[in-house]
Amino acid sequence: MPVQTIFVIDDHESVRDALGEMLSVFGFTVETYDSADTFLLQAIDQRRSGCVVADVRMPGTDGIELVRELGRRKIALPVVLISGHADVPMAVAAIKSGAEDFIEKPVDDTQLVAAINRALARTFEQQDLRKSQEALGLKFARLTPRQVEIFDLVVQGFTSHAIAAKLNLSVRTVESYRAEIMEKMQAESVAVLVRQAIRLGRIAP
Amino acid sequence: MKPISSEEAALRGPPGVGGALLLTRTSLLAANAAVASMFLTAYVALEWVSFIHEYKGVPVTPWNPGLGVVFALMVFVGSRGAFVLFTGVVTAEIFVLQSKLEWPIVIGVGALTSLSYALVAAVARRHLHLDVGLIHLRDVLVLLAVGLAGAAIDTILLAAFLLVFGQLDMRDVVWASAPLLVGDIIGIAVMTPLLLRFVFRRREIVPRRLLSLAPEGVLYVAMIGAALSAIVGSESLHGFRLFYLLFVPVVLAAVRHGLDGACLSLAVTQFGLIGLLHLSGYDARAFTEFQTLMLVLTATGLIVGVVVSERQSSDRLAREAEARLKEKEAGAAQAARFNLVSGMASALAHEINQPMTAARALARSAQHILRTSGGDVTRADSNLTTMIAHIDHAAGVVRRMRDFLRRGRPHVSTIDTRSMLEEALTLVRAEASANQVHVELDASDDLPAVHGDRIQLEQVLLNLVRNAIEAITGAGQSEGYIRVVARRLAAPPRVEIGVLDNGPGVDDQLANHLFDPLATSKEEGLGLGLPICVSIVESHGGRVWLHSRDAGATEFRFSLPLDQSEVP
Repeated sequence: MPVQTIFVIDDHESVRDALGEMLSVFGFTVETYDSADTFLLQAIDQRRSGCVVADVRMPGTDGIELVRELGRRKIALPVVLISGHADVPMAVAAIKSGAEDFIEKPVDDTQLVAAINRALARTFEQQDLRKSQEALGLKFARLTPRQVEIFDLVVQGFTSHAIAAKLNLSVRTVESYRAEIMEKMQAESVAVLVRQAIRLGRIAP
Repeated sequence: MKPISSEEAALRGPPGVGGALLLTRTSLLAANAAVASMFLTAYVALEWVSFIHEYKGVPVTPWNPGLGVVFALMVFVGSRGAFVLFTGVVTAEIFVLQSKLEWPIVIGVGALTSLSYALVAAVARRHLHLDVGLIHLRDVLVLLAVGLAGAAIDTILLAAFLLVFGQLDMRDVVWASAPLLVGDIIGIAVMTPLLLRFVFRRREIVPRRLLSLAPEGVLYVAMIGAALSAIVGSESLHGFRLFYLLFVPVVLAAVRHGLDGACLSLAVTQFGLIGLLHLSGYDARAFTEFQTLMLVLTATGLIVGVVVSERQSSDRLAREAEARLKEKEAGAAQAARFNLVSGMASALAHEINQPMTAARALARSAQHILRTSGGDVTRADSNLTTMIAHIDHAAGVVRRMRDFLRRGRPHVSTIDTRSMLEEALTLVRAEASANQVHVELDASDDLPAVHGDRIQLEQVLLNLVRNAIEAITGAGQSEGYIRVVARRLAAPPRVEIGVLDNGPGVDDQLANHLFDPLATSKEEGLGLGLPICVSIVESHGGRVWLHSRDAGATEFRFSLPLDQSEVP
């Protein structure tokens, strides 16, 4: 599990430093940037994870544009936008762009911390999911072509007899393939195997 | 007497005499009757005082102050005053002069006299538009002219009338007419302006002012007294030669106090002269000769007086107009400031919001540290210190805005030019950065202090910078850049402050009307910004101009003179 960093981006030094100080006192790891452009240049890395807290109005790339840019670059960093000029159209634009939350200045720290925690929690979930998916893929990759062939038939609901007949194999051979597959895929039952097949996209759910 | 008509205003006219404004018809009539009887009494009393002798029915008085008083009423309220004159003449003839004339003749004399003066009074009012306030030289000349005409007409008519009825023969006419003519004219010349100035005009009497004038008045009276006793005390011919002495106090009073001074000193002189001549037993011929001289003195005194009054009042009017203009300018400048700030309100709210955001975050940090056992107290303390700085910053923004709005009247002081420029820029910087416009101050190190109103000069700079921001954002430019350049220049010694921007420039059409009120290129501007800048800078002895109207390098400049004498 990599370190979760809060990236505070605001062109106003006073706000940037104060929010950074507050979040760090609260126990977060904080990095501050004076513009979205600097942040995009310096901090972006697929492996960084955490949450961005950014002002909406900034010279250069503004907060809403930053959310879109992260989306374009497929960087899964949640963004909490803050603004001193908060109005309804801006809030709508912020949420539509995909921001995690939109908070008015002066920032209520409870609201800010809640938004950050929510964003981080979702990040954790997504990371878990992605990891198990990756693990599954690795397991599946270890199957031989013959095993893959039999895996597909098993999850489609064919019995060992039917598979044996279809592939012109003995039932015992099919049974032994099945046992090897179940072991490699670490599946306790055919039902688990079917779920894995769905997650791997071998069959439609 | 005419019923209440459009001349109602005139009926209410003699305020100092008739008393209050009386609104009902009967009380109005009663008031008019009261005024009429007061004037009648005055006429008869003055006639009695000035009466010396009668020459074959013609009252040969050395002068006719009663006529002057009633003539004032006639030019003030109109021909209706003629009734007072008529009644006065008849009453005086019978009771004061105890004339041996038959009553039809007496009535005829009264009718002719009142008719003559009613005629000239009407002409003065209707055709010559006499202003009874006697504010202008013209009014005094008109009054003297109609007085002269009235006296001439009256004299001719009376002489003819008495000739026809055999009361006079040809030989006596000249002998009797000359004193009558001169006496009537002098009565009008001395008494009518006096009454018009002091009785008919409602004036505020300031006792302190009267008291302060008292020594001067005593001096004039003493001078007049000395001159008169010199004139009357010497032998007849000698006395005439000394008459010029009377010019000194009269002209002095006229020059010092205008028409009022002239009227009063003339009245004192006239009454004194008549009294002294009477006591010393001069004959009627000498009286008339003195009165002719007195007439010259009166005309001179009145003319000098009114010319002085005219100049004094035009000076006063000019001063008042200037004061009003100044007040208006201050008001307009303040209105423009409100306009300026209301335009910047959102940016200023943002400017205050930033330190508030920082302060709140730091307060929560400090609180969190202090609530954690074994928290880093030094860190909390440093957070609180920074927080206080942020709060002070916010308070500073509020204070500057308040100062900027509050000041109405100009307040001149010695201003540190650089700090003035910096302060103005802090007010506008929020708006600039919200519009992604970069503002930079380039002030040379040798910038001297200037004299003037700090807030107003800040307003000029703010206006120019805001115009630049609006020009840049209006053109949809993404990269805005404003440079405020301040330099000390010589010959003439001045400070020049330029506001340069990389906006779209000023087009020909606008350039011609740039400084006209209500000329604006903005959709929601009042178009008063630049005219007010001009008025502020000019009141500081400087000027504002469009230095360059090129796109990408537009520059407005204003100069402030360093010569202290040029600063208001």
